[in-house]
Amino acid sequence: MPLDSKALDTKDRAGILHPPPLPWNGREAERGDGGRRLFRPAGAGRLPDRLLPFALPGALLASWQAVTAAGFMPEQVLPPPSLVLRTFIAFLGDGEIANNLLVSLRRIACGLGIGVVTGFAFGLLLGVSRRAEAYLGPLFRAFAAVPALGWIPVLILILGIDEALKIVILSKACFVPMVIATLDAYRNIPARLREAADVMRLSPRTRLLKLTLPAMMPMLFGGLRLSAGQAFVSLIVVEMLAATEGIGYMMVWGRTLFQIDIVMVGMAIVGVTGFLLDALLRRIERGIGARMGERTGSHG
Amino acid sequence: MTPVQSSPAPSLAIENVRKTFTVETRTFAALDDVSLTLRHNEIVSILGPSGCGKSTLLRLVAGLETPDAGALFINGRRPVAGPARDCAIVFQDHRLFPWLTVSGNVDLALDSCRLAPAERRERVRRYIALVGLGSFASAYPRQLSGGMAQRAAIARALVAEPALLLMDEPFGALDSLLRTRLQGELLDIWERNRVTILLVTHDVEEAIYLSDRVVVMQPNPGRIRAVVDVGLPRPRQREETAFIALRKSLLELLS
Ligand SMILES: Nc1ncnc2c1ncn2[C@@H]1O[C@H](COP(=O)(O)OP(=O)(O)OP(=O)(O)O)[C@@H](O)[C@H]1O
Ligand SMILES: [Mg+2]
Repeated sequence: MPLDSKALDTKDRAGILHPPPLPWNGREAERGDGGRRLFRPAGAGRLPDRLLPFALPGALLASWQAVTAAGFMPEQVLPPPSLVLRTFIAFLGDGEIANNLLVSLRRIACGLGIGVVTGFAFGLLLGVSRRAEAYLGPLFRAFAAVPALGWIPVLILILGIDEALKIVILSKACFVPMVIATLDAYRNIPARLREAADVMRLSPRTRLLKLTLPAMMPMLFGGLRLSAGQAFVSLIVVEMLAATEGIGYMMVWGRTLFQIDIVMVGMAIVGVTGFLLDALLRRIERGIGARMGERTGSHG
Repeated sequence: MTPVQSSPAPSLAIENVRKTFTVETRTFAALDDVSLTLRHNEIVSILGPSGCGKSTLLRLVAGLETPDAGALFINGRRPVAGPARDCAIVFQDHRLFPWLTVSGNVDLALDSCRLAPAERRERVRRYIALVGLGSFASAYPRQLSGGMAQRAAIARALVAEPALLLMDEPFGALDSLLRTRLQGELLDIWERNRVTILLVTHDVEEAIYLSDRVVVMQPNPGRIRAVVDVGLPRPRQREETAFIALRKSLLELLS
């Protein structure tokens, strides 16, 4: 034991001595790990780190199975996980999931693409031009205050319930966080580096490629992740309200049939897909962050 | 060794410049009625206590600040309003772009020069080697020590071979051996390139060793207290009596 506590002690001190990493230089993960190791109880029952995220879902799943097996709730209200799994496999087999997921992902890709590109362009415009900000800034903030989903009733009247409706709603949902992230990113380009670029009289093109974009990249990725999350939420709601295919539609369809297992399959797919999308973006973000991380020293 | 007057207009003319800053309704003069003229190919050092406006003066010359009164002229052109061509600055901090390698950073300073790609690459290589970073050309700033980063910043300022070079404590972060070496290199470049240098330093010896004239400033408000001609033949010896006497009188002026 004395050995153990000594080891903890040095780790702790090392943790204090190290300067806190910049939020975007990709060292968060290391620090998080160190902290967790400190608080892990010594003794039996240690899980390898990669399994930790599955502990709680596993426990929930087990208690869910136990509750349904004991018959506390009717199957229409809370179907057992085994049934949900069977439905999942059946739907996987007949292509139901693949078809609907593909439709949903296509909508996300379209909405995210349009929203992110236009949001970036508009955000950059607001950042670069004081005049544009004066004319358009207040309008944008009012526009942003109405949630994407609040537009559905009006847009249904104009666009019907076709693809256009979903694309417009999703684009709007992505546009707003992207504009805000772009504007923030632009304003956070370090003045020190802007001055260095000024005295070197960089051409607009070089300035954009070598200063503006690289400096904005970490925050832009934050905006992209936020946009993707917004797109996902909005997509499911639109599909539940006005659609004939897609994962959201599949869930509504299951509910009208009183087949909650179908709804749950839908939820699981949404959850996993959303998680994977975010994980992918985070991975890219970390890669970029590590490349761009400035050394955390006195000469920063 | 006397500077040659290659054109009638001085390299840099600072005329009755005043610069005030307002911090929370309190206005104070960081610089007040500062005048200074640099001949072509002249080296002038600025000495003075912390906060007396040395960096502010350099920033005015670099076109990063505008004076509240007076004007600055580079080569007799119209008053400085924004960064001028042919003028480079080494900031007090290195200000390298963290996402570019040392080469990438140095290369950036050649963006506004029209050079053939091969010559451009050769120039970058040469100036990186000059500051002793040859084997770190493809390193990122985060992989450099403070002194190495500062040297990379010096290479970035030199690579475009500017006519006017502003340096804000460029050797402050270096050990004394390296500092002496780079001072020598700077004098070599100066002799080759006919560059005018305005240099801020805290090091009295450095000021005497390098400069034709030393400007001593005083704070509150930032003013020029004295301008001292060095007048020693180069290469200068730090141990010779005239050098030591000058050091003594400058230290007296500073206190
Ligand atoms: N942007 C600014 N806003 C407000 N005050 C400023 C600004 N820049 C400089 N000052 C003030 O002007 C004065 C001179 O600053 P400056 O940086 O020129 O000093 P310095 O002589 O370079 O000092 P040091 O030797 O410590 O670098 C200081 O009092 C400083 O607080
Ligand atoms: Mg300074």
